[in-house]
Amino acid sequence: MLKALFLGFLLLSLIFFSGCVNNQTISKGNTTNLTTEELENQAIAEIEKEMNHAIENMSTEDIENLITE
Amino acid sequence: MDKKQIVVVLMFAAISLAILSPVFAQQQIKLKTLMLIGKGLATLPEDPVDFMLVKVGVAVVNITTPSGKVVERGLGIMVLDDEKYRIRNVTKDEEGSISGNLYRNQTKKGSFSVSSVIKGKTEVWVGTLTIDDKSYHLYILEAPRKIKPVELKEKISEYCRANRNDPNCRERMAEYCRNHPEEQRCKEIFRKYCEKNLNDIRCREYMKNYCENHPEIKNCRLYAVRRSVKYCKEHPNTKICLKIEKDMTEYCLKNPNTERCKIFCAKHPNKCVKVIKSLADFCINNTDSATCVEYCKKHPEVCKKLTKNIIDLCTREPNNEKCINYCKAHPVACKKVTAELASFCIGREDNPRCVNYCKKYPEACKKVVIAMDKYCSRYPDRRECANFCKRFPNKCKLISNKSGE
Repeated sequence: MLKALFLGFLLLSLIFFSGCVNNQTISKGNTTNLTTEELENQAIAEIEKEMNHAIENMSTEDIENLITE
Repeated sequence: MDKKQIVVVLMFAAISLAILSPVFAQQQIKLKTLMLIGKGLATLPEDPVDFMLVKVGVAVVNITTPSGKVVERGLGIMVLDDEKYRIRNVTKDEEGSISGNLYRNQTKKGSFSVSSVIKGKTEVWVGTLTIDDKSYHLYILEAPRKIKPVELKEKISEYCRANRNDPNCRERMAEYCRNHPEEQRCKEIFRKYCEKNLNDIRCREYMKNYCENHPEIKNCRLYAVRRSVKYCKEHPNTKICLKIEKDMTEYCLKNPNTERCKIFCAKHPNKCVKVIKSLADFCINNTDSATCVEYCKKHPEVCKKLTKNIIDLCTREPNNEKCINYCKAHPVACKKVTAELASFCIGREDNPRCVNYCKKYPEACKKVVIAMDKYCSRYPDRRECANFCKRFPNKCKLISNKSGE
């Protein structure tokens, strides 16, 4: 029983430790500004994806209706 | 379960979490509000044939920094012919306008500013664009963008957190609405959310479709007004703004006591000197008016002012023998129809939303336009006269005295 508890504790420590390592990897080697820029790039890419997708859905019929209304 | 099995389960859980934790850690970008997505043209004022094709997307983004702090930023992208520009420093206002600066390789190259205006069913953004020291007129047609179930879940959750007393907000409503986006309660919550979040293109798309089917709802009747405030302030004499003003005037003649109409009538007192009522409602208090004499001869029971007891009875039992005629002329009092639809349909017998209603209740649809001074001199205590008499106390009093003579 004690052995199982010890193993469980060891595994949980591993989980927390892996989280710390991952967070460190993200910030490692990057200044705060660069990280912000990277995040901004990511945001712009998301917006561009949304934009292209929505614009693709604008049919010429919609535009024709607008002009003739 | 023996010890070995427990250890295996724990190890599996640990490995799964170790794999998934970086995935969760990277979810740091969230498009909170999609402010504008569309395409159009930018033309040079001095040579309108010199133009660029424009694609634009602007959003409010929540960025979670590695330290866990959430930062809200207005960002976007504008494509002019084939050149991409990043949009930063976005500003917006509740009157339907957006502006921002354009950057390329971290250098500011220009700026844009647009205001929205409703043309038919489409929202158009009009304004100016300055790029590389050249100024253009900018025209953007808004693209349709419906809400996705996963986004609906977030919005429902946001609304219900802020409105815990809303009867539609039940336990696990957000998850339920994600799986049943077409369910009436989910639609109702999202509509309420959207009424206060018209800066989001997904809400505008929803309200546009909703208002097509419910033109009588107050927020639908004022939708074009709300979305064109800035544009119409700057260009009041354009055809579309004159039409919007006409609609607004008509709305205020029927609803002079709404907050928006109080502001409108204070700004344009000359436009609010009349009031529109339905023939049946008008004739209850004006049996001697030329408009009502014939009508009241034909329907004497409809022109009578009912006692409170009978009104209560008719509200409870509209099909009661004593109420049938009264309810035919006064369907709102008998709760046969909403006050919004009844008000919308006065004078709109041909509107598709009103055809059936007006066939059933013709006297409730007939329009009577009354001069406010005459009406309020007779009934200074009426709700609709409160603002008028406050604005024109002498006029109201003078006529009141005259009529008392």
